[in-house]
Amino acid sequence: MSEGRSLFAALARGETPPRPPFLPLVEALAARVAGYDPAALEADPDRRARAVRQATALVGGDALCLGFDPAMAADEGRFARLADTLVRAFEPARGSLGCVAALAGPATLARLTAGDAGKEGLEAARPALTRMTEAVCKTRPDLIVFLEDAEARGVPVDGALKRAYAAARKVAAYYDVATAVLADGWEGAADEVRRLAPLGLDYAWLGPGASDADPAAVAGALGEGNWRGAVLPLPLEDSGRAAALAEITRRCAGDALVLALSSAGPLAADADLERIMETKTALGALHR
Amino acid sequence: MGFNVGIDIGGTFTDLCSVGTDGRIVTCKTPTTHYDLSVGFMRGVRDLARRSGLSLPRYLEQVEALRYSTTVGTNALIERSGPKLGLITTAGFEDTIFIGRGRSWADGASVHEVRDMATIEKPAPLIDPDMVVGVRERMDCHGSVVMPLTREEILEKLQTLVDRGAMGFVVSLLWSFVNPEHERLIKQVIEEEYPEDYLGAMPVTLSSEVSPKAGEYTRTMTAVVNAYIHGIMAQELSRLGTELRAASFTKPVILVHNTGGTKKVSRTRAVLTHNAGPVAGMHGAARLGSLSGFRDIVFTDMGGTSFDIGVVAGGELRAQDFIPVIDRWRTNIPAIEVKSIGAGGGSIAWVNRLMDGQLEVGPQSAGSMPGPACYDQGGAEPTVTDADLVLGYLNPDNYLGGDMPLDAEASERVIEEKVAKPLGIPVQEAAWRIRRLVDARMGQEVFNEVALKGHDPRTFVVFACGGAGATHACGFAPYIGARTVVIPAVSSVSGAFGASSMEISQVWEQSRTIKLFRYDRQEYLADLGAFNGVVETLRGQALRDLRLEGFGPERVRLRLDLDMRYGSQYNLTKVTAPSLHLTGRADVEALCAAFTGLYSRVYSPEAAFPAGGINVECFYLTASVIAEPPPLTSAAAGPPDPAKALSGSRPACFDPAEGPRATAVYDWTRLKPGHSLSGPALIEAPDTTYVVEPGWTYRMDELRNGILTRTDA
Repeated sequence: MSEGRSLFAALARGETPPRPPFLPLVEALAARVAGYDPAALEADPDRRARAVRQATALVGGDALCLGFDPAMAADEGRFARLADTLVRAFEPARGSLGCVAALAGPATLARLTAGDAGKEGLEAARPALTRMTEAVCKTRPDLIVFLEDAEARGVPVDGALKRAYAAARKVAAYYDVATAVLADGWEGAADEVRRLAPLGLDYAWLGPGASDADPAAVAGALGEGNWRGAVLPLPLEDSGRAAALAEITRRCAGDALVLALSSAGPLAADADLERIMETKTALGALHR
Repeated sequence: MGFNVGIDIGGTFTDLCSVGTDGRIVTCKTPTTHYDLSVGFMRGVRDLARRSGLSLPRYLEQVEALRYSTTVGTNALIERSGPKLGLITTAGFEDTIFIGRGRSWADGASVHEVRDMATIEKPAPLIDPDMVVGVRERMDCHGSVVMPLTREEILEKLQTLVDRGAMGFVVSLLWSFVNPEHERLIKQVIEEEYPEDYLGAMPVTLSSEVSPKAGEYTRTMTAVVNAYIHGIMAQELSRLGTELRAASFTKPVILVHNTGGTKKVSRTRAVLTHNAGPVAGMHGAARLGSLSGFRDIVFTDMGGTSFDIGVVAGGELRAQDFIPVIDRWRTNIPAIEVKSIGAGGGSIAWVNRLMDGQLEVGPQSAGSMPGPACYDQGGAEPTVTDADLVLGYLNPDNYLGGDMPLDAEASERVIEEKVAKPLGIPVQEAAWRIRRLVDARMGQEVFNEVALKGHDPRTFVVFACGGAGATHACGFAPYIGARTVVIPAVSSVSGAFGASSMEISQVWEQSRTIKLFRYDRQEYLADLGAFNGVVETLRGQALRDLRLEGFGPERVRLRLDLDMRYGSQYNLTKVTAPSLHLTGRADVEALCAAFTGLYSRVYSPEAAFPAGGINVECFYLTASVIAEPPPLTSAAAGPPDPAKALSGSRPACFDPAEGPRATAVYDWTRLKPGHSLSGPALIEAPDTTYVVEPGWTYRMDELRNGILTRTDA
């Protein structure tokens, strides 16, 4: 079994993998790799799937990560193409790599579709969220990530939001897919981890801002909730900040949390690939 | 410590039951994952391990036997995902499977479909007409060759099928069950032309091996169905075996058969796995009934999708369906008879506008995905479970032990939108009608099944099993006049529990006409060689087969059943032979007397007519490995006061005219043997909820079974 798939197989068995899987967000980079305009690439599921596989291999990723743009879920056409891309990407890669799919979270989806992330907007968005979650889960990813953008940070984590996430969680559980929430652009990583814990998801996917946070505070917040683990952002082009994240990782490991690493946000199309590979190699040695 | 594990895959839930050698029982339910049955299977096994306090590898190492009733084959039939098969039959009879029998168009169709005669059609055949070829050959009814079969004839017809894309062959010739020589020749030629080490090697199924019984349509369809689902089942079960081995389970998986026995996967015919779950449930009910002194039982299983009914008379699973239907196909496997209707917790309630706005429930089901509206998984149709929730019977925070919180508001919303508003009635009334309707349908079916088998339903005890059985038992039991309902402690996983203790067993069958009493001479059979010859052939096959399972003859129990009839009659009656062999006239007379005695009990003594001749038409030899199931733990009954199990009360509706009333709620895990309470009451168990309606009492017996007794007139 290839290393990427073996890491996810360990996760599926409830074990801690020998090293944190690396889940880079490479869709923008994939356009550069394929030599296509990003919008044109998105419109061609087959080419997009291949390009993402190539870009993931280029940066040494352990999983294909697709759909990390919450606006995709708000547009029927874009979502349909995303679902098609997921099938084309995951099926041939499943034996060697993990599969991660992302979808707008309920608060963001409610705001994008109904202009209202309050109780009524969330109730109205729930059927669409359930339908799209099922459509994504049918492509059999290992992990589904719900994306909540900066505007959603004002939405209280109460009954309506919890119900929406509960519905999505049930659908994901039926398909045996782990769940994560990525709160992007939210400040105070430790506070946000505590705030999102009642949603009952498996993983906290920390946004790029987490690399500035107090590592001890974040580690403590993760340990307080019922999180199975966390995905930590790795600023691949800044080795100093990457080391800080390594510190968080080391502290969190003491709480027996499962950890994975991602890029700090989507890798830009013009990312310096050599620096990325150098930082990743160096960090990889720390976690062995 | 060892464990015997039973796993039953249902339409909505996958049920698991682990019985320890110390008698301790651990159960769990998990939603059936139709997209890949093994996901739910392994999830359930992991859950069993966790509840047993062991890691998965440690638990599986201690599993002594894992018995599995699967729906893989049935799903393949329904989804039409089987291979392209070619059928080789006797020339002139190529249309047998398309003509079928007189009422083939209705076989397996629902009542609604059958009523709609303007639109009902025969199902698309499993084998296309251009994939059927006839070979020039003929046997007569004695097995003598009338027209020999030549190799050239076989090769020519074989090539036709290969050229048309056959991925497997079914061979069914006339009278092959008397003389299989020509069928075997065809198989031999195919295997010579396409040996196993060739890429073109394809499986060959002979009707004389799968179903050596009279009736070319049913014999052929049995072989066709077996061939159709064989490959898919082999693949799925092999994958499952690999997953289990990776998790440290190295013993063979054992499959439950619809004939009432179990065998290793590698020694099971695919067609015998259809509908095995309810048969396992009946076995469990019979076993529990025998421990409690109940011998006449009507077994019911109300799950999420279907309501299954089986009859246990005199403590035995005796009723065998003459020619059971698998999906839409009439076969002749010796299956235990189970009647199924689309009535379960997930059955959808709908208003039939074509029938003047009549309320209907089922047969469509919401299944496990999206499930009832209250599951909050996208379900938009009201179901029986939604109605039970609105009526206050279910605790939304304690469904499946709290693992699946329910959304009561969603239930009210869909019932209001889809039922209450169209009918112009309040939501509570709509929920009440949904419940009463499904209870009435189930009760009526139970009555039919018991009464039509010649039994008085009022003398039977109802065993209410299935996840929703305890919730609806008081509702449907009155329709058959039953005053006692038993809800086993393992009711919600009855199929899995039954499977966990089923014996290794198989039925060996052979059609052969033997005239025991000749009407023309009015004398008994003198030459017993033909009868005993068939028995010995079947006995030899059975003992050889079980030796390959690892069991010597000293551990094998044999039972001979015979399909018998009076001369010139059509219908058959199955009789257990008093002895395996006939050694003299006394044995022949005893067998005839046994037949006449049973016939008289079923049809009345006035209908018996031995002077018309008595024939044996088919032999069934059941070979079982003698094994004692692990004992179940029991506790002596204590004082009746259940006060310590009272956990509160909530409003529940038992009469829409009165509206909801405060109803005592008990925690089943705190009830003890001997505790007794009167309705109305609700008892919350980890996997189900008991609804004790007004006019009923509940008592827990020494095995923690619930005994419901009707006290009103």
